[in-house]
Amino acid sequence: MKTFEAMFKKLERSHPPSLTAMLETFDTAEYLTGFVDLIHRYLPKKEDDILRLVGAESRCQEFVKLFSEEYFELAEFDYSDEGYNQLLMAVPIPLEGLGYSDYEEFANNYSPEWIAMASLVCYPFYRPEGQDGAEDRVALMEAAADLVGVNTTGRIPPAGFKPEELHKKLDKTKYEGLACFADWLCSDTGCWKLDVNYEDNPEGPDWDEDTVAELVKQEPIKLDIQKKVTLLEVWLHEDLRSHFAELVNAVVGRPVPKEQLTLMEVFDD
Amino acid sequence: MSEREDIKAVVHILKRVPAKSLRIVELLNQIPVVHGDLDLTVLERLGSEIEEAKKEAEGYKHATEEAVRALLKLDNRDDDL
Repeated sequence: MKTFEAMFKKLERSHPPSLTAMLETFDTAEYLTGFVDLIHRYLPKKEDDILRLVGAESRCQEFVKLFSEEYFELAEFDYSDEGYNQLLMAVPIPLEGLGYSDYEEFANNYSPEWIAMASLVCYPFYRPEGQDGAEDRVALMEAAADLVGVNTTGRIPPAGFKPEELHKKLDKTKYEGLACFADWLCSDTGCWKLDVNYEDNPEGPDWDEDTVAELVKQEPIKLDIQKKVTLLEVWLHEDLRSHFAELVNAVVGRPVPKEQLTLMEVFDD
Repeated sequence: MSEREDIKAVVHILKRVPAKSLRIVELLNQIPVVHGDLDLTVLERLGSEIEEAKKEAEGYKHATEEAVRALLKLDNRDDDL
């Protein structure tokens, strides 16, 4: 038997006040003070609406909802554990950038329209000089060929197209969404929400006025990019094979006569 | 020393430890609770005092942990024998 076991048990039974718990109470209060400060800075008129709710979780959720309505969309994280602290640590922006793992598994995780669009875009990550990334696109090209036919994908250069090339060819046309998609895939839209991903940057930016102002500025640009991409995606979805062939024509710049395209499609099947 | 003597010695030492009145306990009893949280206005007013009380509590907590570690060492030594 341990020498002091009985003493410890006796002490425990008397329920001494926990200093740790007391310190935690003040720490939580500090987070609450920080949270109230955040409300004063960004949603001063909504203070009562937020603070009349009981508990950190529902107050944080209300803050996120009202902030999103007034500034830009915030991510709806789970605040049940960390409460105010989690919200105070960083601006909870939803990160929609595509990381290395996303690209590796692109053919398995994304829609047929996105796979087809990605087959036209160059490898989005660093390659040593002299390598064009064509070998990194093999799986994606195969998946695209299964969807739209090898005769169409066969017209795409193995290395795909860089975003700037696509902008040059497609801006102000109905295919502009592909150039926007290429920016997104290459993390080069200039919008943090689209260029940053959770894999590389699990934490968001700090709360400060410059950050919030910058994100406010980026929000309409981000929404415009996503709108253009979605429009193209919807159009491709209507008839993936023939619309994608039309898109490839627009990019490659050498339209294939319709009769020949039909023949090739028959051959594919 | 035997186990009985060890306990006797420790009890004797503990009895000589003076009572400690920590400011954090007083403050927590003093600050009103509003809607389940400590009153923010009072917290703001007592800001520096709270910081001092927290430092004192952290120091006391650290010293207590040291004492517990020392007692456990004594325990382990007995186990080894």
